Amino acid sequence: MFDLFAYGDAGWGDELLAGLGITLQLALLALPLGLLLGFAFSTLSLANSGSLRLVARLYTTTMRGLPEILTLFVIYNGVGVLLNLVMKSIGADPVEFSPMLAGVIALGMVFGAFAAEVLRGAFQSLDPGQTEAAQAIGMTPMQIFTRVKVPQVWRFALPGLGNLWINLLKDTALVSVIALDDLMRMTKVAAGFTKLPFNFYLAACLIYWILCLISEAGLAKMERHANRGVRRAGS
Amino acid sequence: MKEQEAVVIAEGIRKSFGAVEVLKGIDLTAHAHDVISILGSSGSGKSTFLRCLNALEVPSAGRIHVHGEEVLFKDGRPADRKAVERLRQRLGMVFQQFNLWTHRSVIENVMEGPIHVLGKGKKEAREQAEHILNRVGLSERMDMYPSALSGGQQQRVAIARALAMEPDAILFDEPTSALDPELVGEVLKVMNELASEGRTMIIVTHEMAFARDVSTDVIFLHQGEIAERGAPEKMFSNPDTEVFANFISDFN
Repeated sequence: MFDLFAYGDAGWGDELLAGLGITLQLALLALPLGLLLGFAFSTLSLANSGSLRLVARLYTTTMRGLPEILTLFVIYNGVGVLLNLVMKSIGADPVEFSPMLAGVIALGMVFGAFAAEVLRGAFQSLDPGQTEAAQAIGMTPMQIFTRVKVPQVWRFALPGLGNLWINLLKDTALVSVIALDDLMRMTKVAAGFTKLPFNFYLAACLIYWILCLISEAGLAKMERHANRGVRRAGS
Repeated sequence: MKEQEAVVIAEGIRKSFGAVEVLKGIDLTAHAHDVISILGSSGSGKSTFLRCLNALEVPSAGRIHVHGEEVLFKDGRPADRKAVERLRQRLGMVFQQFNLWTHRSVIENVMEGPIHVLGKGKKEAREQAEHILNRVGLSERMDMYPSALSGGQQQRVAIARALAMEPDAILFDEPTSALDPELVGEVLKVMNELASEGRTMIIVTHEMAFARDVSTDVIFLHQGEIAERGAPEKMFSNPDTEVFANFISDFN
């Protein structure tokens, strides 16, 4: 049984591990993109200008409304074709739009839409007095954003963003359909090749589950840190 | 006119919220070492006026001059946003609700402005913060978070935070109104010490005894205008206007 997961030519251990590497790479690259988009669109959704708010609303509605796998196909096929049309028109060599890049962009964009909603709620729960105190000592709007708003928004948003991160880890499995050799796809290949689906799918379950456990522990630690200035009831 | 240098000059400050004009052109000059109490019933515009002085409430019209920094307000906008930031650095502000940054410890609250606005070094800012917190009697609480402190202690940290900016004048917006009665004294004591060491202070308050005994000047606002102004001894013993006489009779 353990021979199946041996490292090297005899077993599938190294293939699965490589798949895990791709999965983690996808998730860890999509996360910063998603957070960036989340902050950008949550800021837009709270803007004074009605047209900016509409842009934010269109984005979140679209990204949250489409099945993720459809978003992935649109990005992978559509954007790839579009990109090469542009390259051709300016006389440049066609570029390969890699499944990895498509996966990162698609997952990041979906994460960004959900994160924008989480962050919008968090920005709205900020105490305006915190901002006023920063204005009163002469901070610039940028300083107020990075030194007062973001750390406090972070605290309100962390539980919601943690949820999105765990979802993101699992959603990476979708990229197996555009032939990216992530953990899911390698598991499927191994299961098909050895005709032992139960062993391999169970192993994959275990790996995803451990990723989730590690994430939860990490998030709990981050929440404790973010809540350091908050008195809990009964303490 | 007094001989000391004028620290804060506000001229023709007007403020409208929609069609309602809550400040109808108010002038104020604070000279060095002045302690000016702004009194008035609720809705008189006193807090709005104080918040106009550092443009937390942007005046609809008027001119504010603080130590060489002048900002004109027209059509509800400052002529120069950067000048507003510089003006705010020169004016400390103490809020009714303290507004300490909840994600920073007591000493970090005090060090924030000197480091990130004035550009001081960490070590220098920490030494200064320790010194100031010691003066307001909070040297034991420096590494705690604001939520672990009483209201009176939080307000003293807020005063320390304002002092750390080495301001030309400090604005107090009802600094004791959110405090339990037994905590008011410790905050007034600190304010008293600041007054007696010659700090320029502009205070919106309901503490009549403090206004009478500590201030050098009193301004009484009524319906967005200055109804009476003068020295506290004169105003409290022999008010010129009926509105101010009625106002203080409620407290005596």
